[in-house]
Amino acid sequence: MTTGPAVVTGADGALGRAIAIELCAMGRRVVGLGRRQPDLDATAARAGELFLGIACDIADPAETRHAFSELRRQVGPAEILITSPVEAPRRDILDETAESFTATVVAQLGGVMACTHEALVDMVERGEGRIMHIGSLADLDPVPASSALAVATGAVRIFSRTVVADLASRFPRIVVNHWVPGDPTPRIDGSEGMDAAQMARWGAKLALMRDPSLTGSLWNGHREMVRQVPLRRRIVLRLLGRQRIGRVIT
Amino acid sequence: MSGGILDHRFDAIVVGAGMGGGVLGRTLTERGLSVLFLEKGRSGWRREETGLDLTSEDPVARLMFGAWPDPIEIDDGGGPRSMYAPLGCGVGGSSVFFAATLERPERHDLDDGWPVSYEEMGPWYDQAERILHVRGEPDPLSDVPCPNLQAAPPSTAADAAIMGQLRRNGQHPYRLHVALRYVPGCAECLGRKCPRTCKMDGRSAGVEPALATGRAALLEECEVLRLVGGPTRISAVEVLHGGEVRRLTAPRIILAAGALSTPRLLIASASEAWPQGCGNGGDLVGRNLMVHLNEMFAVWPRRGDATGAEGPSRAVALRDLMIRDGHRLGMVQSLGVDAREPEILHAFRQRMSRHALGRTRLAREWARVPAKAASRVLGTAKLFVGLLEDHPDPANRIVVDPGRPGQIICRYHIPEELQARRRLFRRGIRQAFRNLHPLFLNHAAEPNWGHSCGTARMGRDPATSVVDPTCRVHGLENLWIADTSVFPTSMGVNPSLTLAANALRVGSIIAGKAS
Ligand SMILES: Cc1cc2nc3c(=O)[nH]c(=O)nc-3n(C[C@H](O)[C@H](O)[C@H](O)COP(=O)(O)OP(=O)(O)OC[C@H]3O[C@@H](n4cnc5c(N)ncnc54)[C@H](O)[C@@H]3O)c2cc1C
Repeated sequence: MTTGPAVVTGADGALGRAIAIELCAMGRRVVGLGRRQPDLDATAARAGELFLGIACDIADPAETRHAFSELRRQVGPAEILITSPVEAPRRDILDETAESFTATVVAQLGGVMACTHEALVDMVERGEGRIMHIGSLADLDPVPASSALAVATGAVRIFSRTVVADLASRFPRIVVNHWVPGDPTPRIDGSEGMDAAQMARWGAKLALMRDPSLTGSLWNGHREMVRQVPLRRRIVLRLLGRQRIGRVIT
Repeated sequence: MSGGILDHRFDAIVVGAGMGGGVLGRTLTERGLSVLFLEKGRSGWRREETGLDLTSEDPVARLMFGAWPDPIEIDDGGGPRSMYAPLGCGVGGSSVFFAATLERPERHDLDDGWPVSYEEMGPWYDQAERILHVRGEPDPLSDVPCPNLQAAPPSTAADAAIMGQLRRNGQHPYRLHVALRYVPGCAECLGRKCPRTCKMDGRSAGVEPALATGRAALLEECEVLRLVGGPTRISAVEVLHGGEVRRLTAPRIILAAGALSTPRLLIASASEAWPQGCGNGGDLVGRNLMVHLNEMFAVWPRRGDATGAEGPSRAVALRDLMIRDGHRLGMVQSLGVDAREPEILHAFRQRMSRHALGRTRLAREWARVPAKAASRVLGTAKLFVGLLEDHPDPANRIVVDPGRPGQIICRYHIPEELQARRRLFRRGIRQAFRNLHPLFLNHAAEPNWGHSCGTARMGRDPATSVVDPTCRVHGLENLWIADTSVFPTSMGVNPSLTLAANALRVGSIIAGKAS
């Protein structure tokens, strides 16, 4: 692969920042996108020289296009894209309006779409690239006051699958997968720093893996989630030494 | 952009941007003519590595991936059935998916059945081998020089072992002729689109160099519906583009929509001037449809010989079975892939399905175990195919249903004569590959629809052919055909080198008349 940058969205937030720092520590050039310039500056201060922050609200397609043409010009086209979830307000459905709900979905889903599309413009030209969408499983068993966010989150996971449906057979070397960081479980002593950093390390490692067989895979924390197959088929597969075991990031 | 294209006047319109159309269009532009390619499919992305989709049933997805969108209908006498044929639809046509084997026919293939002799075709084969960068080894059974044939990279240990055994069996194997440039990073894209300018096909050696001259334009997603004109001239082609039906004109029209579609377009062009269809006064258009029959088999080189997989994969060719007991059979070639368990499995299942018990689901599932055992015990198998020549038969044909003019409909049966040659061929293969444990993977006859040809045959006599020896449609001043439709016989080798050589020849005739 060429040595274009890794683009990380939400680099002004906790997870995006941690992943950007991790990637820079591994010697990768990172472009961080985020709305809040001061927070991008804070990321830059910790990530070092390999980090370039570009202020951009990815919910706004025009801003996103501009940010990508800017990063193309300054450091070359994205080789890796990592989209992280935006922070959204918790809101009782009774307090949501159609407008507020739509705004959250657009910020989340529309932003992921806009960045993915911009990155793909360059990746299909080269026939290779790496896209990792970060999401959550919030849609499977939604907690109260999370309607817009849960809907958007589930939609992003569907979006990952549609990207795979469109691209995998044509561009096997554009590797696309979905990662759910998992719960940053608070520790008894109240510190959660280590878990968050561990999570970011897994995320960064996963984003640097480019085995085409990763395409379409879903990861939770450091484990790949594999689809269950019926028992009889499982026995045959085991006899053939072909059972699918979820991969693990070490 | 398409507005601009539609307003421009071109010297020639080429219908179908596949192997035939691409190479012919290229040679016209290189000889100074301007060319408009009309292609039903899309050009796609240059870096795609898409394989040919034989499973999806969604026409939108199929077009997106460059495959012919609809199933074709085949009636072998037992009623129509539908299947997805190995057919491309997009720039490069089927050839972007092809396995790049470019072999010359035997001298008798042309001299006995074609109105153009092997001698006359010689220089065009030379030129085709040059522009298609063909690599391989001269056929030891042939005395015809191939000055432009380049050397191929050394073979794998497994192929060398297979060739050695074949020689000990008294056969004459050689390195298959392949249109791969083996550029750095070459992944030998056989059966899928090549993301580099490495595999030479109708796109990389046809449409792209034509566009590079600046004298060609391409209209994709443009389906030609029919030809319009008076008794002896085509005045326009009627197309569907962007949801609109419109007419495009040029002084020269070249049909290259493939052997399954070109006759359909001619017949669908029936009008007062041509009551039976354009060029179909003799009721020959669509008839004499030929395919090759694929005889697939796996062979097992001695254990240990198969290791050290480095080297090109599609590499072994054999012409010892071109003629047996006076019957025309065909070439045998390696397919360039290891026989994976699924293929072996399929063979086991076929054998089992001849017994009632073997047809149960559980038995089908458990057939995996002996298949696995075979690959454990015998090591890696290599896949081979024998291409059996098909003879022209007027009853085998493309027909058009006026209610569904876009549907490909074939009537195709396998005569007893062909079954007899199959048996002869398989016996010959078993003998030639003895000590390599040949295992046939197909029991029933397997027509190779990717090699269809013959549906607008070339000949001198308008009573027995559709196009003349220059591939101009009899009785029409400005209509030529440049795909495999014009093949009077299917030959015992892959079609594309002859297709390209013929397109170069016809292109030079068209350009010569123009200047
Ligand atoms: C998987 C596979 C492997 C093969 N391997 C080999 C090999 O190793 N060696 C070999 O010699 N041959 C091989 N072949 C066969 C070879 O690809 C074909 O013989 C060759 O491509 C035929 O060229 P053509 O120009 O006749 O048609 P095509 O290449 O099929 O081109 C026809 C084009 O016309 C277009 N078209 C059709 N109808 C219309 C319309 N109405 N309007 C506009 N456009 C239209 C189609 O979309 C298509 O793009 C293989 C084929 C397949 C499928």
